[in-house]
Amino acid sequence: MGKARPFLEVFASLLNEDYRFPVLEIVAFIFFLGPFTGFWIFSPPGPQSELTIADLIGGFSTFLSMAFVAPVFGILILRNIAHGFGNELERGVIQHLLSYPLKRRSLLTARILSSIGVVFMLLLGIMVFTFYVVAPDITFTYIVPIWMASMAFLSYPFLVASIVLILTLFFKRGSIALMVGIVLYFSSFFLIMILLITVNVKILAIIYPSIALQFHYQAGWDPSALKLWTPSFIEACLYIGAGYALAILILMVGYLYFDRKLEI
Amino acid sequence: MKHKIIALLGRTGSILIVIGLALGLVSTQPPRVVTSTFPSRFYVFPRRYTLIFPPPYIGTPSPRYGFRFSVTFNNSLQFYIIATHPSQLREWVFSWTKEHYPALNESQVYREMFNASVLEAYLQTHPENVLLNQGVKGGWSIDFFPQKATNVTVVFSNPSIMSIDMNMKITGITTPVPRNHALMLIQTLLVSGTVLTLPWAVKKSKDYVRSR
Repeated sequence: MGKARPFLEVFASLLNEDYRFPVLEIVAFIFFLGPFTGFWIFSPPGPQSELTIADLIGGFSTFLSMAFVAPVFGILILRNIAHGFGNELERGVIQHLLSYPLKRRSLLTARILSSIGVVFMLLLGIMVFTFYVVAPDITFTYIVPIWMASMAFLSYPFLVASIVLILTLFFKRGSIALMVGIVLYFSSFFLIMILLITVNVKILAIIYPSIALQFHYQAGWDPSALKLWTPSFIEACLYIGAGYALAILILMVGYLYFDRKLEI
Repeated sequence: MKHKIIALLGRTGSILIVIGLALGLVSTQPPRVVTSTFPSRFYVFPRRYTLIFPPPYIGTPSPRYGFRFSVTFNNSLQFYIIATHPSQLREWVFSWTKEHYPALNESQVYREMFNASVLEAYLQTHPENVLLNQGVKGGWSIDFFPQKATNVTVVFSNPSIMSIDMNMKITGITTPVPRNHALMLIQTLLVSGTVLTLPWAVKKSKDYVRSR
């Protein structure tokens, strides 16, 4: 408990600062309500047969991912890291946190858990719950693909969160990270299209692993595009792992920089 | 530490309540009409029943895609929705009638199989297939969503001694979430959320009163 107590103290204080009531509640409300409303408005009319796993991963979740995951995740990350953490570094408030008997990397861990971890877990939980609400039978039958799909949709926002964090650390302020974050989070659809034209779909699938899963289920894209590649489920999971590995690699660089190089 | 755990549970509870409310809002959206049949006129003769075959283009109902039955008639009827394909039900009543009235010839069997007593026999032997059993009178409309995707047959039985002239229209409707399922989830979310939030809310209000 000796080392854990100051860590928990810092973590609790960061949580309190990042998510004052009712920030998380509003985010949860918008994140849950949005995809249903959008899907409701844009779903094609006509007699509907029972949904399949391909429908869920291809149709419903594409909308969920494009329209809501990145922007909602983005707003909180930009608020917590680029704005919150950036200000702490810029104004020297971080020195107060460094006065705790904690190693620098533990402090950064508390910051990452508070700023990214909580949002990540909340959105992951809501996504799986959304799948369960729409199609309970399919969610039970295909629980692993549903979890993998939810993880895949959060991979890109997580990657951008890592980039925002490292930029905030490098520049010791949040303004540049904020700009880069806004561009990356709110233009994900256009970025996918540009990258699809300019680079190979397999390389694109490392940045957006949900593409690998959609191509595996042959859903959510134009049929001519789906002919490009049909990965196996294991292959799609490897791409999801690669996406997270890339984000974690960037976070590790951030850890090393914060621990050894950053002068405060 | 105890206060922090109460706050953590309280915030978890408040998020559950908010998700429950959002789900409630989604599930109160009125169903959207996606397709419909032309109004059709039927006669249900005394002490007999009529099978209605929903046309193939209207699709198979599921928890998110249901049927709206709009009916107008001049008397009271017994309305059933049976979870079986109309041709299967027809086959069953035909063979049951043939088995129980062996003296009848084929055309007599066809006439006798639409007796209300034959339907009663089916309902008694297949109670699990009866999705809805309702006495209806005059102008009437109902939105029907089954618990799982299934073929359905609509049956109107006339228990009276007068013929009934009936107009009916079937409309395919869709909702964003399966309603029965959503209702159970909303209750669970709101109750568990309230239980988790209560200690935190009490502590907050005590702190507020003390600070004043």
